[in-house]
Amino acid sequence: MGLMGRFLLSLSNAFSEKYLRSDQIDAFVQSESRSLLGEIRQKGFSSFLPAEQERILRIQRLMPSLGVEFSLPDQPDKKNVTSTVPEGENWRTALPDGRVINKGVLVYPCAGNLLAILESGKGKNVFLDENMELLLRHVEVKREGALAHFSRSVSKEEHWQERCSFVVLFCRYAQRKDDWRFLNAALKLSGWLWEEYRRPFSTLDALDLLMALVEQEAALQEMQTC
Amino acid sequence: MLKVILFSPIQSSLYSRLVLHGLLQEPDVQVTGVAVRTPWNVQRARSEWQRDGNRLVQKFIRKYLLREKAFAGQTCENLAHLASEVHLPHGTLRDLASAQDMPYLVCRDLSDPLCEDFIRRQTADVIVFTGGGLIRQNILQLVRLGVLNCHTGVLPAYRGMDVVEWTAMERAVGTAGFGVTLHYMDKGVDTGPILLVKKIQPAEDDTFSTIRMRLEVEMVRTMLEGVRQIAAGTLQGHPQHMQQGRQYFVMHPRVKAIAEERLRNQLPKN
Repeated sequence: MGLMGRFLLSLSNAFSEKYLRSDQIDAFVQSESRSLLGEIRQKGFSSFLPAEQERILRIQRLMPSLGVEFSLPDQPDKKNVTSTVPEGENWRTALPDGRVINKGVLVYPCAGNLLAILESGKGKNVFLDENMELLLRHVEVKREGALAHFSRSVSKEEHWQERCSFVVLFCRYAQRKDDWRFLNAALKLSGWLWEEYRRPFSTLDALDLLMALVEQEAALQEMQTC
Repeated sequence: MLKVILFSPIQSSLYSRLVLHGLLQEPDVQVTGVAVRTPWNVQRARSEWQRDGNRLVQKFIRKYLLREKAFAGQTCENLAHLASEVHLPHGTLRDLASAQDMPYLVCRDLSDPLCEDFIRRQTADVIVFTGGGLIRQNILQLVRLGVLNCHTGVLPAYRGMDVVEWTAMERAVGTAGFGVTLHYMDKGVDTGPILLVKKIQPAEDDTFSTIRMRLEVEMVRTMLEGVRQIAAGTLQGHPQHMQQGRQYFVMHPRVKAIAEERLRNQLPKN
């Protein structure tokens, strides 16, 4: 091969895929968990909203598997943490055609309800499996443009939180089903969310992304050892 | 005599050229035309960029600019070796077609009305698809037998993208294995009736790249064998059962790193 050929070959190799690397995630998790703990010490755990408290407790549970020190100053009484688990099954039966997505439009809220069904479910759940497959295809085909249209108008914060919740849903479904396709999609989704979060003047909530990335890294570790 | 039209993604595609060259040697096959997608299409570039990202630049350099040179230094079986083995004439698909005085169409999309007219004019029993994007229902219904596609995975188990990597990821090298599947296209992704499945044996020093190169050679051979058998009337498609497989998508680099490790653990040890 001539000089030009060698140049083109090395040029093509230089165009490797861009993605959110594990060292970037580690650095984010370390720094955000430190600042979160600082905020909890300063304001107190009870000053957080119930949904945030749940997320913080979940993060605390998963952090040891990532080797990150994260212990709350005072262990809150879990009985005092109001559960925000959505309706799950009731929500499902209210869906008009049994689908959470139709022509690219998602019912809202969605991820939390599916997560509740997943967590409560025993054995096979055709509704969940069919809808998860539809969501997987939607995310993979639409990529950065996925999860953009909802059945009702949502605020920027709700939109952000919902997409972060989808990362969590995909991770837990992947673990439950031992299906790497969903963790694969979660990795892509979190990469796109990361790009959005890192934009200048972004006001997006770090806790949502922290939760998503902690779930993702924990799922990756667990599934890798299986 | 089986009448065939060839579909290609780009006029320099080595795979398409090898298939066309092979079809021209078949005594019971008549190639009635070649339809190629133009690369200079903003819509195409946008959708491929959305799907492939930086991989599109890699593909462009390797397939448009380097062509056979992209295989330089490779010792495993590959398309460049096959091209030299069968004495594939240099040049593009256009050159191959014009040497045979064969009608040649360049179109924005292989499903557009221009292509539809071309197929109607040239008449064909079967379309041999060697890449070029989605084929819509208007084209799928236009020819008597259907549109043939060779997929780089074993169907029905592994449909979609990066299925070589997914086979290793799911530790299925010893069960589903690596191979290619010749099938008729339908409106789904790799869901049409299966005609032939050809598997390859992985070697101790294989990587995803060498497996892919070997499969590309197998795709040419399987496509030609399939067309030959269809012409002889000895090959029929068998419908797939959707539950026996899943659709896969582009693999994330972090998952791919795990798949590479898993591949090494599944390769035969001498």
